[in-house]
Amino acid sequence: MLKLLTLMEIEIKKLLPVLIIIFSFMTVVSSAVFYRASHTLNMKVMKNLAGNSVAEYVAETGGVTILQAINLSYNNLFLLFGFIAFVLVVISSFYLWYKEWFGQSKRIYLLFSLRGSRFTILLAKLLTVIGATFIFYGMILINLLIGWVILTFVLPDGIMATDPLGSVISQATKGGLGFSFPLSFIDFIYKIFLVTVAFSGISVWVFSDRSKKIWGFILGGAYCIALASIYIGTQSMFLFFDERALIDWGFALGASALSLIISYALLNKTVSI
Amino acid sequence: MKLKYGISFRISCFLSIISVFFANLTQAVELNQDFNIETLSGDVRIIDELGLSAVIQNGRNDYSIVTLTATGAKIEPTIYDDDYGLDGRQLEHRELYRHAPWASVLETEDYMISYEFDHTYNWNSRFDPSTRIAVLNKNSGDTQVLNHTFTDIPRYIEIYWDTYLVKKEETFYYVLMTNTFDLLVYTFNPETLTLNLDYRNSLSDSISAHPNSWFDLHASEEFIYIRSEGIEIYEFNPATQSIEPITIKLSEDKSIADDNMFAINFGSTWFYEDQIIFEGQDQYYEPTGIYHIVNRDSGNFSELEQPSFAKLLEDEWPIENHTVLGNHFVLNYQVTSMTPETQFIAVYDLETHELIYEGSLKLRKDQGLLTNGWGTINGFSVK
Repeated sequence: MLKLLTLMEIEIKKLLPVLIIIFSFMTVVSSAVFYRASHTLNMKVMKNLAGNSVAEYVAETGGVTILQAINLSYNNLFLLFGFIAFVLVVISSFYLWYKEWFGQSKRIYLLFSLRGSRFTILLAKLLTVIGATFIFYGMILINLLIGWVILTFVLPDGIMATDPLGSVISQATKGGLGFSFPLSFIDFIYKIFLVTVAFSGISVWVFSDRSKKIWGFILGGAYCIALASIYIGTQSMFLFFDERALIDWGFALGASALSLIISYALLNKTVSI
Repeated sequence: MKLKYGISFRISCFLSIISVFFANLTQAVELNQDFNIETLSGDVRIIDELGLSAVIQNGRNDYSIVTLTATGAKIEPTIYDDDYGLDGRQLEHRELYRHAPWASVLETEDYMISYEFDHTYNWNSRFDPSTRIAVLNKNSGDTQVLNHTFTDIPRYIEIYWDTYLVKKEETFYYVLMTNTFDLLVYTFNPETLTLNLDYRNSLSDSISAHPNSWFDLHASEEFIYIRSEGIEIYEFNPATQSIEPITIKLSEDKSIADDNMFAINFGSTWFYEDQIIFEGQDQYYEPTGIYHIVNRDSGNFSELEQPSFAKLLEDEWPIENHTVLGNHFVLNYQVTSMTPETQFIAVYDLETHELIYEGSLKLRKDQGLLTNGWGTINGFSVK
């Protein structure tokens, strides 16, 4: 346990600059999208207000919600969150592994020579990436709150709905916010498994590469491409929502278990010191 | 080793999870359930017969069907697939909609049959023209699916128009028209799932009154209608394979011989049992289409009274749709540019051609009505 915590400490220190860059980029772009949408929304609201007071408008139509601004931006915000989620997991996974080999200190040799299971090294990195994903969820909420503040400043006083996140969260769809943000406890667990699939799949690639050089790189890459293809294949199947849930869970559990087992085997048997 | 990174990281994780937890606890914004329709004229009790409904999302995974009634609204929980826009009523017969979520459906006493022609073949020469027909046998509850490739239609022939399945004298006919105006009629057996070519004819040859005309294909439950140049209508009986012209008696001021016959630009045509309904638009000058009804047997042509709210719709570009329910013709105008978004409803009696009801309904943003990604609310319609 102590070894795991210590290793995580090292991983977190390595990952923090990457997280700061990614989340800063996300916040800047998200704020820009909200700023632009708020002006478009303001023009629309001012046109509709003509002759009426804000109170009358709110009584008649309900307060303006963040969801209206997101809809006005053609859902670009949800695309941004999805893109960041992908970049975060993939870049973090590659970065955390290859930095061990390509850094000046070549710390991987030190890590492999530590007592105890080598799998702890993988587990520490996996938990760090999952932790980074949790922070990403928090950043989404912060970005939505920033959007709400921007809208409150740009739009007339008293026109915003009082519940800042209510409309976005309660009316989120699987293809919108739900793509990158968990919409239920079950969805939360499912997304942890998806992150595990991505991280362990990339780990298989890295270990294959480090074990067998060219052939390892090719086979590891083929494994990752196969995983991605199966995932895309399952997503493009014509399934209704309840059937899709079964397939999604089947993939998440199956692919994460398989990738972790292969990673375990490669880590203990093949990867040389 | 300094622990500040790990501690701050873990605190951030913890706070994020707590935030996600509380955000997910946020139930739907207190939904406004004021779905009362405001009557502009007529007897509001007609609303009970129409069954106008819409789906609302009242929680992250909770949906309800709201059905308008004369006294308010009936709200019933449902399931909803937001990828394909199908609610519990369609998902009950989900195999009819698999791979064809927007298929047309013909319902008879014994069968529900969905059919959808694969129009992608028009743009991809690697495909053969094909159609998917799914049959739900109401007696056995079984659903069978036919994916039929039309080997008798060359790939270079294109099919733009809707295809139709009609039932005439206990036989099902599947009808399509090619871009060379060949009319192809297939008999369809819902038990054996066979589709056989029954009739093929060039409309340009058989309707010789208009040798260089373009044609348009429509259907009612039993007949196929062919429209040619303006308002020339021909009725095709798939059972007898006869094509008969329908005589339309225009009133004095809109004589077909009149040079101004195209002052009325008939945009669309619909056919219902013994009525033909045109949507006429005086090109760009009328805020809404003026509807005209022709009695198919007598040929009498009459213009429907415009709803009193038509003036309000000038320059608003409403989303317009219509339907026929029994003896009623229902017009729906959804005005997204109004504040709040408003839906107007007009109901006509198809026997007397009188406007018997007009109403309006405010579609507020806080009612949970589904949006389509561009912020437009899906209004109430007849399912």
